Amino acid sequence: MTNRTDTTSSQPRKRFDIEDGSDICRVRLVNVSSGVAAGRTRRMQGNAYLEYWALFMSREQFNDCATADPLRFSDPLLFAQIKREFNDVFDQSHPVSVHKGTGSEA
Amino acid sequence: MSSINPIQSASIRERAQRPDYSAQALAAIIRIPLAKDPAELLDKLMHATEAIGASASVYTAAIPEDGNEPSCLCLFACHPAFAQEQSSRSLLLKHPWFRFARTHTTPGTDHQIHLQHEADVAAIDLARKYGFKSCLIVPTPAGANLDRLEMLCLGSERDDDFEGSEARVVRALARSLAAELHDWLTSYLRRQLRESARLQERDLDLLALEWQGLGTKEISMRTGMSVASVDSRFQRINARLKCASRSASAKRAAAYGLLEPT
Repeated sequence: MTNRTDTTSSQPRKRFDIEDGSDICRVRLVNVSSGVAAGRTRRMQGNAYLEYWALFMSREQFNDCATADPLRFSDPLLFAQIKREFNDVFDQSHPVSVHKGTGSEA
Repeated sequence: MSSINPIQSASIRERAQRPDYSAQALAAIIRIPLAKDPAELLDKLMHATEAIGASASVYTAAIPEDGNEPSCLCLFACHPAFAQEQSSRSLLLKHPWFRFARTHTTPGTDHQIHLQHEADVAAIDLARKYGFKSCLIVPTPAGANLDRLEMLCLGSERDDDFEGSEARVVRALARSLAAELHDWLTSYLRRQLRESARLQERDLDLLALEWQGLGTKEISMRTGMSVASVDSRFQRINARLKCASRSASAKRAAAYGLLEPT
């Protein structure tokens, strides 16, 4: 088992709030001690909303989910923005593992 | 990887027999109230889930609104692919776990879930792929005036990990975790609604009296306001809470914990 330390409150936090043009869908990305917490809120009828949060501990987890995300086709601009913002937030959470080179690194 | 504890070296029942097990789990649970927002809450839920020795957990709350559909908050402390797949299939409120929570007041395991449809079987099969081979469902029935329902589900990569006498301590810890989550949510919802609707103390007094079932004249007598003032104040409250009637406003305020004495 991997033990992680709960150090959220002492970390500088980076977050992104992204809304689609119609204010129906809102995406939030927040770096936390375990990785990047991603929240998605969808407005329903009246005052009702659906909000769910998942935690991405690695870039691979995010990429795997991204390929199956319906937003990829329904709102490609928002999807692309989320991908960019995720990488920024994740890089802040894991500064040591940042690789933005040409892919030729060993 | 299908769970947050991919190498579950010991079963939860084995871990529960370690001398420092409860203390470590409680240390993680008592950090839940420190979360500032749902992102931090999920992080702390993840830590508490690990400390209990579970592979994964899910916390869901259904908050009644002025309409047919409730609002729903879900925290997936598990592999994110489960959150995505589950959400694309149906609302977690329709999951057999949540149905169990709706009809029970005490925790139960996967053995106590009745599968009624093919969709139930598919939902359980999906969960088993992501760290919920066995599970413990903890319903959190709200108080008398709080028409809200919450559920915590802990999962294990092992079958029958929540059965037997060793699991008693796990059940106690899970209930404690569910209660902390409930308290956090109540405080969070109350703050959110109060700020977004810009409600004042006087508004809350009126909503509380409406929630008690009092009519305009009685509210007028109790508050010293004129009948016309009571009516116009309720019109403003309804607009701010985006509700069609004062009873709907009171119901919403109660569901969000605004009418609980602080």
